[in-house]
Amino acid sequence: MDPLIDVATIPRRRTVEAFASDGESLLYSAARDEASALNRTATEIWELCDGTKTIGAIAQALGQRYGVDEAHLLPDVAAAVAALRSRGLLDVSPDAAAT
Amino acid sequence: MSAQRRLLAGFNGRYIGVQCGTEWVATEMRRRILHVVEAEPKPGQSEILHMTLDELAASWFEARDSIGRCERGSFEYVVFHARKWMTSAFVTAQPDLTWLHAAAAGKDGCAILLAGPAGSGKSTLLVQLIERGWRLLADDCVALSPERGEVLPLPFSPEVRAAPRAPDEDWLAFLTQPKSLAAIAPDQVSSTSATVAAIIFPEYSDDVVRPLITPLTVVSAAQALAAQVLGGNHGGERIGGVFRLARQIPCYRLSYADSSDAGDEIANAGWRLGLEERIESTRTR
Repeated sequence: MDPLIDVATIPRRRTVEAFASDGESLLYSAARDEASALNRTATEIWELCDGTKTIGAIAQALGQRYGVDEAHLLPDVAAAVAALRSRGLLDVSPDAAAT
Repeated sequence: MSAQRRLLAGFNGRYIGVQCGTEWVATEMRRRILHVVEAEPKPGQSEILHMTLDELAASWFEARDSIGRCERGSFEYVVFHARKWMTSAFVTAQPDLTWLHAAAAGKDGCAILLAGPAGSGKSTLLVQLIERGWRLLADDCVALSPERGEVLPLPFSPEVRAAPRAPDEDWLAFLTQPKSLAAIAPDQVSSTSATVAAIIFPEYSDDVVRPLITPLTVVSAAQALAAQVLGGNHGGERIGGVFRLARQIPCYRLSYADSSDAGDEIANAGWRLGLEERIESTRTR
């Protein structure tokens, strides 16, 4: 896991539009003119990226929600956040991570 | 110049004039756009594009249009471009409609859309449905009235590849395979709008034993539709539009290896019943 990401809170990118249905969502990035479909789990992680939580805190929130040890969830949450980030859906930049 | 060499392709109150240089060019072009050809403009119709098709030398043709585009090459090559210009002119002239890269067949007032990228088998499956008693509504470019969820007929004659992609065939080689024009009789063409019962995204896969139709979630369907929208709105507005469409109309993925089996599967899936149930639930909501 990227150590910088783990200490940084992760906000959703403001310009991304979200369309939700049955727990899934379709996110549209205007900057890339690209739509990304998220399944239920990815949608939950996306929604928890509210700018106040780190990856660890997101894993903790999901762990409490489903009664699972957050340590088991951490790698998957980190991978999901990395995927969202690589698609330009999160406002995680080296500058943001350092602050 | 002979009036028979001038063709008018009409759609929803707009028409495109095509002036052909020779009788042969006019005959061949008419075969390809037969079901959208109109004898003369209806009152109030306006010409949105004018095109000329000429034979410059033996087997060397030219297509030009009134906005300055020009293509030269084999007859199939210039007709391919001429047809693209025609559909893009209709798309541009009517931005209030939702335009999809898809084919559509209708029966008993309901329509099935076959949407997807080039090479997925839209036109082939469309012809299979027509052979099973469905009527041609549109090929390659479908006009949808988003409020009513209806397909408006734009029945360009479908062109199909002779064979599906071989397991070791290069994708580009497959896509550039010559297509043949499917002969569709006038009584196999729909002249009226039809309510969309389902949108199907065909996926050819040579390891599928039997065709399989599986429902898509709204989000997956919207993502698939977003890639097939032509013209019109851009950005979030476009995505919002396809999202509403995916909520309104059930969408499915079809995995198939044999287009005839897939044609049977689609033709017999009871879409009419599903559509009636949907209309009824909308009414009582």
